[in-house]
This record gives sequence, C-alpha cells and structure tokens, in this order.
Amino acid sequence: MATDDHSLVQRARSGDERAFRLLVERYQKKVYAVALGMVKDREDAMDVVQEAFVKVHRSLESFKSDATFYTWLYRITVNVCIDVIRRRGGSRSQTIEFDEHVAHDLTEANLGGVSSQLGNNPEKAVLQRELGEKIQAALEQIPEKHRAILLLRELDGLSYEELAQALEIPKGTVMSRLFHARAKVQKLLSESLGIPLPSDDEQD
Amino acid sequence: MSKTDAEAEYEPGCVRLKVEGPLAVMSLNSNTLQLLSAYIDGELTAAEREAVERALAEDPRVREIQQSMRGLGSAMRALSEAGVARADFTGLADRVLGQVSRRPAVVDRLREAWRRPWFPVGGLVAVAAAAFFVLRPAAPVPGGEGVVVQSATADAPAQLQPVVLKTDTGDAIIWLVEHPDASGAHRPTTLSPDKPGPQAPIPAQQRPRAGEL
Repeated sequence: MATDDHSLVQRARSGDERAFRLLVERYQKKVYAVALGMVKDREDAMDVVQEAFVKVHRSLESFKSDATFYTWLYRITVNVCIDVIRRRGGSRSQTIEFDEHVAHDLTEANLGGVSSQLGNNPEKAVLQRELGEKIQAALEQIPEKHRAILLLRELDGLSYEELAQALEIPKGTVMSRLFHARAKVQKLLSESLGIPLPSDDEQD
Repeated sequence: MSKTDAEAEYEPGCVRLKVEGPLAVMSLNSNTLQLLSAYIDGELTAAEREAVERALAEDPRVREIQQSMRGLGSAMRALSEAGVARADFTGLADRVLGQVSRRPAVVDRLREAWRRPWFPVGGLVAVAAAAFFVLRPAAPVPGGEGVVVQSATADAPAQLQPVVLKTDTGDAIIWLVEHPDASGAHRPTTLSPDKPGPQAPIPAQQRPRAGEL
C-alpha cells in the first residue's frame, strides 16, 4: 500500500486512523523542531505539535490535493506557534542543554570566526555554552516572521518555492525576508560576541 | 525570460536585482548580501551565481560573510537536534487521535463551517432576518399588557361570548368570540335602536369578569 504523503492524506480523509498516525509519526520531529525554535519552551512546543496535528486532521477536507502536505502542515504549525506566543505574552525561553556533540557542532559552525577564537582555550566548554545561548537569544530577538522563515529554511531545508507556499508570501519576498533574517541575527551575534561584521561604506 | 539570462527580475515585493555582465568586485551593499544569502540556498540563476562566485574568489570580506551565514545555519541545526533528541514523542499520535475523536469545540466548528462557501451567505441572511424582526417597530398586540377593552361590537346580529385567560400574576386576557346566530347564516348588519351601536360600550352587566368561564 502506498505510503507517500498524498496517499496517506487521502486515506486519512476517508477515516483511516492508521494513515493519519503514519503522517504524525513521519513529521512529529520536524514540526517539534520548528515549534521549539519558535516558542523556546519544550512543553509549549509539544503542545504546539499536538494542536497543529489536531488542526490538520480537522481540516483534511479543505486540504487541496495539488498542494504539498508538509508545506501546509508547516503553515498551520507556524500559525499555532504565533498564537501561543501572543497568548503567552512574554517570552518563556529554555536554554538547550549541551553535551559534547552539540558543543562540537557549534564549534564547527564557526560563526564569524568564533572557531579560531575558541582554539585550545581552557574555558572552551564554557565559551561554547555561551555561544549557544547567544545564538538562541539572537533568534528570540528577531521578529516572528523572520524566525519562522529562518527555521523552515535552516532546519527543514525548504526551497524558496516551498517557503512561499508555507508562509503564503510571494517567492521574491522569501528571498529578501531570509536575507534580512540572517542579517539581523548576525548583527545581534556580532554585537554580543564582540566580533565586527565585514562591511564597507556602501553597506545599507 | 529564462532563469539563465544575465538580468534577473523577481516578483513584486522583492528587492529588484540586476546582474549586468560579469562583476569584477561586488560591493558589500544589501543587494550583494541578498545575492549571497540566496547563493547559499542554491536559489540563484546561472548569471547571478557566476557573479557571486567571482566575488567570493576575489573579496575575503564576502568569503567571511558567506562563512558566517553558513555557520549560522549549522549552529541552528546543532541546537535544534539537541532539543529534539530530548523530546519524548511517545503517545503523541494517540493523544492527537484521541482529541480529534471528541467533538470539536464550538469555536472550531464555527471556524470550519465558515470555510464552507454557503455558510457566510446563509449566516448573513439569518443575521439580517433576525435583525429585521428584532429592530422593527413593535406592533400593538391585542390583549397585550396595558390594553384595556373599552368596547366590543359585532358586525352582524350575533352573540358575544367571553373567553378569559388568566395569567400567573392574576391579570386577565379577554377574548370576545363572535358566535353566529342559531341558523348560522350571515345576515347584513341591522342594528335595532334598543341594541348598542357599533361603537357603543357593552353594558357593565354584560362585560365578562375574570374567571367567568
């Protein structure tokens, strides 16, 4: 039996619970990653995932079969996240717990030459933790629309066409919004890390 | 226009980008950085890609920004993977299916119904009809509160018989029911001098009293 998204959606529409369960299990981690990046709280993120899938199930009839299931799912997820953030009012962020693996990946990421600064510094682990916290803090400070597009692009690798569908914006806007999102995070990071960004007189 | 043309134009709402021939050095303005951002995502035309790659080869500042942009993506993925790895998804599908099997909340049901094409039209018609009945001037209601029976007349020789309805508060609503004469035939109105005229009040002794049924 076919288990591609389209077939599962069709089966779920006709009341096949197993098909819908497969869709949940296929996307739960991806949806959670986006939700966690948006709401910055593990419990809230799990609530978002549940609510998003409930909304998906209740809206299966209105899902257009020519659309992509996961771009539709991400659109619903982002909207639920924004609802949660606004309902909650202030931010309630939790710092990601670090282990050796995360610290290594952050060092490899080499944000603005941070890697070379860490070098063999005896306080490397502390600095890595600080770096992770500053990245999260920077992501929290940018507008929701910038955070959403950055998360969908960097975590799930959505193409510009898919981002346009998921966020219901023109493809050209995707390009400029992504650029502004990156530029804002990098500016915040350069300020908090004390590393100046390369620039020249013509920079806007 | 094909995507390989030297000049690339994007949809309205996008910053208009033009790449006119090979660029020796790209200045670090927002257009350049926007091209660099899209280059990292693999979303440029051939001409744009060529221009960015030339700039990357010749300008260390562009390379540094590219490294920083790529680094941000890698760092976000590392942090996200750490967060996801600690999440417990056990029973999530059951919870979702359990929730959808219950009746959706009224708000959700209305929201779903609103998406159906007939609902907004039908809803507006219903609201308009309700508004008409609520807001129209109230017509006097025979026998309603504050109405006092001054007189009752018959348009033909007939007997008037009272029907008295008592309310819980002791008020009485009185209906005067006209009964045809014994033959049941309709006869033209002929008023005899000894009978009350059309507007004459019913003699007091003929008026029905509450409870007289």
